[in-house]
Amino acid sequence: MKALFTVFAFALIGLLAVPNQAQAQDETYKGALIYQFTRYISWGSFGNQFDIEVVGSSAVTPVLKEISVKKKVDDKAINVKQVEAGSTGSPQIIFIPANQKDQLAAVLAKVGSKPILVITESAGSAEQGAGINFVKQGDKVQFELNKTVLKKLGISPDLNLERLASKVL
Amino acid sequence: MTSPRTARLLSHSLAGTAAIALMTCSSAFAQTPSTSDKVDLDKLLEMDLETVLEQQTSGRGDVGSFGYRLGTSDSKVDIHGYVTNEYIDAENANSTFDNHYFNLLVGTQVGEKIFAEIQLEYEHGGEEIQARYAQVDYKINNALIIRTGKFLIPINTFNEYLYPEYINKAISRPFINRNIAPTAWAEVGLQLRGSFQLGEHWTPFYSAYVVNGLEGDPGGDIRGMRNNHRDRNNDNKAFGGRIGVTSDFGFEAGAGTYYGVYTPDGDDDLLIGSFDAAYTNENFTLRAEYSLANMSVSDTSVTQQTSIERNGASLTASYIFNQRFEPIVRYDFMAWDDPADETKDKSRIYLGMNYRISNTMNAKVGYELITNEGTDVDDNVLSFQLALGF
Repeated sequence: MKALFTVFAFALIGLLAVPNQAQAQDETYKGALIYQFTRYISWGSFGNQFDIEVVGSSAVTPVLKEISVKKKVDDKAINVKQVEAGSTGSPQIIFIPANQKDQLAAVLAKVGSKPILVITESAGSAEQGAGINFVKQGDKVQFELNKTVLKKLGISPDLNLERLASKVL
Repeated sequence: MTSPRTARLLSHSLAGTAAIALMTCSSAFAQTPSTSDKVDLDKLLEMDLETVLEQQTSGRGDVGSFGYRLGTSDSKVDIHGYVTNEYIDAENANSTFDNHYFNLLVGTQVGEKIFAEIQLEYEHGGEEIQARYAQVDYKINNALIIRTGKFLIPINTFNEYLYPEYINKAISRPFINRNIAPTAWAEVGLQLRGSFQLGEHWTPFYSAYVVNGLEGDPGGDIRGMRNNHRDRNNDNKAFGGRIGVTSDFGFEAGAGTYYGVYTPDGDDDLLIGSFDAAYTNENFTLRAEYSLANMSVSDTSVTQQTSIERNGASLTASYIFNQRFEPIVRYDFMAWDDPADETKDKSRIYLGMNYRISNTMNAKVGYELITNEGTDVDDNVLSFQLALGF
């Protein structure tokens, strides 16, 4: 009976106390990191607002929207918008979540040489042309930086961004 | 054949394994992303990128331990300290160099309301090591702060604010601050304190506390009764408090008290009172203090009287000129109401000169003319001190 109770108690803890907390925390960190990146990049001039587009649905979007209420970039309001892969505009940042990783090539084609920072969260995306790619190392969200791509697009990252990247291409 | 005990152990092991497996599976299959409250987004936004990257860890299988993980939280740690190096040449003792203190002050502010600090005292070259105080403050507002842990007793200004040598004007401490209201004096317990503005110029303050309290022999040396960190001999607690006022024109005054049972058997009690006042301006300081202690002694074989009273006072004046030089003069005495031993009555004139190397570093020279009542023993002392706060 005691053994049964033990099994039940542990299972209950597993079901109730831990449900996907790590996953949810990752999304919060990713949202916060995207905002942090804006502080380590010289954006030059842009319009009246700082635009972030998210391709498809992502749990990062509500985090970014929460940030947009609380923070600004270069004294400009942050505007977060969900878009389809074929309808990206000319924002400062495009975030492609893992469930849209197949859209990376199409998005990059549309970006062309415009100074748009493309951020992804899928293995190998930095090598495929994303400016920044989130990777998981142990239980930490880290990021890879494609300096070559950013240079081609005329985006100037701070040296500290390069220093803190887990990998620089 | 397995014994019943072995079978039971096996059953428990299997149950434990199954439980952990179930817990792991249940976590792995749960897929309901949501913005988690476990991570404080506001804090992440205020941190720098490096801190955000370092912060996110459960610590399992990772580097570091408690300190490393706390280092990624929102507590900021400060390390300070003070050093006191001396050369003492006393008439009735060998002359000696003394690395009197090298004390570390480690403090932190956690959020807006929580403050913690410890003074790690390394005395006489590390011969004596202890936590002089180790406290946590929770600030509800200026008028109410809750302090717990081992804290300096708010008996007078000297014990709470002035005793470190880089602040104290003289090289030595007044007799009363050694033998009646002994400094540094800290006790373990709970304290409420606060201050508030009264009109344009005055700031009254208060503190009230309950602590384990001093403990020692009947009629004994009060200084030696400190460090009763845990009550092991009785349930009695000591209590007291202090009220006072500061002003924006340099005057301050306060009165503090302490009362508690001091013997392990709980038969004898001790009352200490202390009154102090000071006037300071840019260059001039005048400070006075009077303290008294009354201790009951139920065992008359110790003193042939049922109580002992000790009292004393000090008056210190100093003046800074040329921004660097500060002559000091102090008179202090203590009187021992103990017919069995009148030799403890003492008075002293301290003459000194300080050179302020910086705001927190002083080079001092002092000469003390000490009079021991009831004896012809000369006990004068020449001393040099270098004191640094950092």
